[in-house]
Amino acid sequence: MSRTYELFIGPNHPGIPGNFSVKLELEGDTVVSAKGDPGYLHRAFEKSMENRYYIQNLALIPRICVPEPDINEAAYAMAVEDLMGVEIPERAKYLRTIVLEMARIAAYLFWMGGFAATLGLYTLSQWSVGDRDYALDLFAEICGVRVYHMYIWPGGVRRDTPPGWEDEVLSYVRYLRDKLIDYDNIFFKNIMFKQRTRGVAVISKEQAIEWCATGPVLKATGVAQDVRKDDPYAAYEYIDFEVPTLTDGDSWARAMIRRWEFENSLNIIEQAIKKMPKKGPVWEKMPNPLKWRVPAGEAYAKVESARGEHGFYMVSDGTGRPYRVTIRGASHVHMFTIAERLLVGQRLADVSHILVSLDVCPPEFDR
Amino acid sequence: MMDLVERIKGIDGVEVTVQRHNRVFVDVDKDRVIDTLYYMKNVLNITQLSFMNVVDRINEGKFEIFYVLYEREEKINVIVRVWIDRDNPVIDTADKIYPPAHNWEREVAEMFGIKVEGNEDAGKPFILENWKDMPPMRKDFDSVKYCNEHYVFRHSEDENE
Repeated sequence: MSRTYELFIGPNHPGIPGNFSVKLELEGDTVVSAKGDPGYLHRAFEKSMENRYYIQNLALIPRICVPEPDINEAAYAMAVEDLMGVEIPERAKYLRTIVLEMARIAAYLFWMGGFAATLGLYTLSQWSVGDRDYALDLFAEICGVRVYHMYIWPGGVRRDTPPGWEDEVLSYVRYLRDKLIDYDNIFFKNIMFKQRTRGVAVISKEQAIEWCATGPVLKATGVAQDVRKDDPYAAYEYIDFEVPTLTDGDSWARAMIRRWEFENSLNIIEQAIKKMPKKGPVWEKMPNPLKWRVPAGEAYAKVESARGEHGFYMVSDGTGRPYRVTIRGASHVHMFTIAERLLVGQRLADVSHILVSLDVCPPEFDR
Repeated sequence: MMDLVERIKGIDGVEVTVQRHNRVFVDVDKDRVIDTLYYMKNVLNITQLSFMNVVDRINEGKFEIFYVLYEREEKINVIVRVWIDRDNPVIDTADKIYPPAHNWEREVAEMFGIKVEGNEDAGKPFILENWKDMPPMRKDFDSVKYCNEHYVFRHSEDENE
């Protein structure tokens, strides 16, 4: 008689971080094997992009990632600019930085709520998702929509800020800084959080490098790798910030890195608003969108998302539509290379928070 | 930076193009791709495979497989490209060198119909379910035709009026 049984943690399970599933084989409540099972979210983004004009794809790509859509807009725009040899205006660089950091904050607030919920603390999710909503309001003011912004586009950003927007952002930053004290008190300093996560699902520095981890998963093992520092884009080269690292490599360390990244983002926004030119163009004039001809060639543009390296590989054949666009999301590696190994030997009760500590986001592999 | 690029140029049978200061494209023959990747990982210490994927060069009758690598010290992306025949698309697995290649190869096998020697999971269903048509990311796959054959279109209220 078999001592093991299968358990399907599917997309409707409250402990799964998105529309995918994990097939577990368990002995008692110990995981013997884990297999990721994608496919629930496939909307053929990459195929669809080949059939649309460059400008039309701008409406499509933010939808690849709900919590943090702007990384797709930025990487796509950077790939097009790379092929066209376009340099964007200074003010646009800063606006991109501010918007990308706000998106990062919004993504971390979402993540924070989800992570606390997998440990049984639902208060934080209600606070953080509520606080995220204020960021969405600010997005609506700058571009007219809350979730899928279509704000960053080739040549710069779509429009300048409305009067007083920067002050509202600064006010939001101050508000979040105060709220972070509450988040710390209720969650990050909470003994329950530490006891559930310390020493759980440990990744060593050597393993993280061998498995090609990026983002907070890699930083939690002591490697200070960050695209914003290593290959600066937007206005990051003018911003002073440190890349946080820890050496524990466990679920706790991955969470704490994100908490510090959150604080980093607040500082970056403040600096960017202070250093941004007060006036100036925000968009380098581009040809008629229906007549864009992007020179033939191949380009790889990457940004640092809340989960790690996020890149667009773009191939142009010189026509008005991209010949091939393919997307590198951090979650592909974090789910199929890391989580499938890391979950083995763990307890069933820890599976959800381990997956959320890796911040697996299904659209990054189901695209 | 030149040091790493010069060392890459020293690899037998590669053609190196420096696109900008931290993007280096390395074109290599099919027979040498695994050796080149092995050398990159173990001699040049380029430890990160960011991802790999395929471009269908249908007009040339080829598939272009590319591996995006990242070197941490000099902060350079090295992109290794190899062209294989479209009629008999076979590559060797790189998962013994870069573990994440295992799952990227599953995607490549499913979406482009490329056979990956040495990867027992490549060819099994990964993202698609019960897919019986041609691999969908190939250029000659007709998305509109597929939709017309498999889905019933609902008309909008305006059209019904």
